[in-house]
Amino acid sequence: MRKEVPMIITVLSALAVIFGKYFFLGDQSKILTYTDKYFNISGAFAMLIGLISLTMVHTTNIRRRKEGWYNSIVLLVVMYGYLILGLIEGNKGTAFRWIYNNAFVNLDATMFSLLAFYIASAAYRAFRVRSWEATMLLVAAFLVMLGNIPPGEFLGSWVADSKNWIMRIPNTAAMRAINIGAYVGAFAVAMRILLGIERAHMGGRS
Amino acid sequence: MNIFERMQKIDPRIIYLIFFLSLAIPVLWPFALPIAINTETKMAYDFVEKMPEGSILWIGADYGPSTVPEMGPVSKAVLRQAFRKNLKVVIYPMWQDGQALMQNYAEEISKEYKKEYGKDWVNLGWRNEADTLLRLMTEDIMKATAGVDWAGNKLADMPIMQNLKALDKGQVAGIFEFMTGNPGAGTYLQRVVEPKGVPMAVACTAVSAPGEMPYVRSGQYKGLVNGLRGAAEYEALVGKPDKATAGMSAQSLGHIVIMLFIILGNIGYVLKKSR
Repeated sequence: MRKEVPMIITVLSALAVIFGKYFFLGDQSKILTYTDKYFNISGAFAMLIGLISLTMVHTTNIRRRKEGWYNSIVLLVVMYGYLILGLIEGNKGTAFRWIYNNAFVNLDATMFSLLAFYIASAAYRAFRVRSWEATMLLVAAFLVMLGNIPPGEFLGSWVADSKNWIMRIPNTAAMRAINIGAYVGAFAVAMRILLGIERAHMGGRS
Repeated sequence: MNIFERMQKIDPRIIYLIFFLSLAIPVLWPFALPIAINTETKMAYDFVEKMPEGSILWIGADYGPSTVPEMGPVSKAVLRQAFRKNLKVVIYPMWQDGQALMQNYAEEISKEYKKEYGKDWVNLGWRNEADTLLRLMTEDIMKATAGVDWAGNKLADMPIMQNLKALDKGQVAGIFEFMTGNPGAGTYLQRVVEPKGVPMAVACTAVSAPGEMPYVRSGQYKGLVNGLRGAAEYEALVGKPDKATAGMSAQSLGHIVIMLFIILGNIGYVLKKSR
């Protein structure tokens, strides 16, 4: 029953959504209103499970003095401290917003900004004229980079025109093909889940 | 190692240092650069500009702190345009960070234009599985939000919500979606734009722009603001240069440095091959 019950729930849920979305009677019954609410509630429970799971993992790290266990203490103190502050003050709380705006936002932006340096170094190493295709890629990258900065306009309108042509024509064609392939693949996976062939989401193999 | 090999194998620390200086110096001492306006940015600007006074602009705040340098300036520019035109602004974040970030910008810009919360603008607040609730928003906003905004205030008491019951074509003039990933513009396309016919313009990061361009070409997006460059263009259109315009000097120098390094590496590669 450990495998059958989740599979039955999955199939029934999928059928309810298909019925509500694609059939007149389903649209009239507003079944999707209920499924949306239940999805919202189950998402909240998933967050609770995530909180409990994080707590268990990091308390184990501290108890067993694993490498970097002091980072686990910091994580738990910050996580529960900010949670309690949020419950007491709410979204509008002064301290709650101050910590978010002055600590979290800046830390997150800083971590993401490291990516720029890795990209610069990777671009320097990877963009080599080893073949015709690599040369075309390099020329396209140069035109798009130049077209995205004001100094590129000093070289003439052909820079912006080239960049726009690359973005609007070959890029659009390629992205449409990629998107169609991705969505066909997603549909195939959805059908496999609906028919019970795909069981990775239940922890099993297909 | 001969000189051609050295040109191909510059120490990454030197690259990082030069790149850092190319970004930091213009940030500390920005210089003005003239900027041409892209067609897609103008389309997005005109989309908001054509909205009748008093109509509702739905703003999707779907980005996080990591993309604030690109999305923050365009958010402020669009809010300036909306408040200048006396549009009613409804903010709906599908990202939890979008709630706080857009709230900060709206509070700052609303003070400039003397706009009142609850009357001229509202933040519906983030909820868990907000992308699923978006479909419910097209039927009944009160049901989807449980009747409260981001801070727990009752929506029924707010003048702005008196004529807004659902996210549909008759009640909302248009959507301006600020996105960096999923959920984002694709979610609005599937659940609102195509089924309900509400028009939408999008602002996205430069890295997302190639993936969103097909939707502009097909007419599903009414405009596309592309990264920091697009934000600087939008600021120019709104007539209030801000951080994006200042950031163009850093972006320009940074791009030029990357291109110079690539050229150097390729010169070394070609000359070494020809020997």
